[in-house]
Amino acid sequence: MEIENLWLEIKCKHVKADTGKLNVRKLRNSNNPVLKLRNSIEFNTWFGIASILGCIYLTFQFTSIYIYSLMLILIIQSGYFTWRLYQSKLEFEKLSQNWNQSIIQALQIQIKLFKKTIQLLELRSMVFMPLGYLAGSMMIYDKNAISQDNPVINFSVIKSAIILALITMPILYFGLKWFHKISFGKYIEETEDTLIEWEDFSDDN
Amino acid sequence: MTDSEFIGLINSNQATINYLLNLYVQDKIEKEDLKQEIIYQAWKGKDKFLQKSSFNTWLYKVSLYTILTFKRKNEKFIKVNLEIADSNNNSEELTNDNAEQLYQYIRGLNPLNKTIITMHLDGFTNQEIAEFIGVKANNLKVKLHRIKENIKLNLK
Repeated sequence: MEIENLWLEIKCKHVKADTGKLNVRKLRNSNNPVLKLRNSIEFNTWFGIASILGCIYLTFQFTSIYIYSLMLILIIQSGYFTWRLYQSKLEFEKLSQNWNQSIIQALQIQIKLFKKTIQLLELRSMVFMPLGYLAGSMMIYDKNAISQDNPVINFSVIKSAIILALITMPILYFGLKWFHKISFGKYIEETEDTLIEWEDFSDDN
Repeated sequence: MTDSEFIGLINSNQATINYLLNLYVQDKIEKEDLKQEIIYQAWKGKDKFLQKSSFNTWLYKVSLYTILTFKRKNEKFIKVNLEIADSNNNSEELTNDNAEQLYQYIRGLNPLNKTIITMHLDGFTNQEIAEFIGVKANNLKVKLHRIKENIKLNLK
């Protein structure tokens, strides 16, 4: 029997057995890496917006020029990364809707986008978190200093906060890199293998 | 297209989504994930359906595109040997058995070969398959020929 006829027969059997009302279940924690990354982008974008608003609010609560400067740096870096993450979100959306694009092209773009976004998240955490608690420690000191009628800034406190921030930066960066490797590493590796196989086919023949 | 029209069309064509998911995905949870993703993507892009082809063909391409770009891992389906037992004399049973084995064999192919052969068997032209994958139609013809030869060889 011809393959086509056999296929038609088995396809009819499978399709017939599979009709009925549409049943879509609400998913809570999807394990799909693409969906996980999409959720992470979403969360980080909103977190970035909240950080900017928080920093603007705090700017009006303190008088120290150092805190102003730090807040300004935090607002700029949050704004930059939030904007970049939002761009990634749009690129992912465009990719998943661009059905006229070939699968090889889609996979190439997806891998690039995946790596770029992950790197963005790592850099953002590396810069934001230490700056955040540097600002926090300065604010705590500033409040205390004002109440004690002392000079606003004690440089030894700032120095130790900066040293702590510098030590934490690589820890955060490599920690998040490790976390991303566990979450997305296998998916990236497998997608790259698939892509190589597909690209080889387009080159070989 | 209104939302209710879209839901109606998805309802009557969801067998296509399930058929492709069964071919490409083994894991139940991943199937659910991908089914929702396909419906979500199709709903978001429903205005891109220009009625140049049937809704079913459009949904087929959307589903396959989503599966191939979202799928988590290259699952190892059990490879099936298509040789038929000589002792089986009932022709109808033989055909059913053959068809099921062919299905399982195709399910066990790698995503590239599976995409080529299923799209071909589902009525897409070589040009359409080549454009979908991103290769030249002539290259695809050669590959398709090889896959079919392999299947025939195993069916004999």
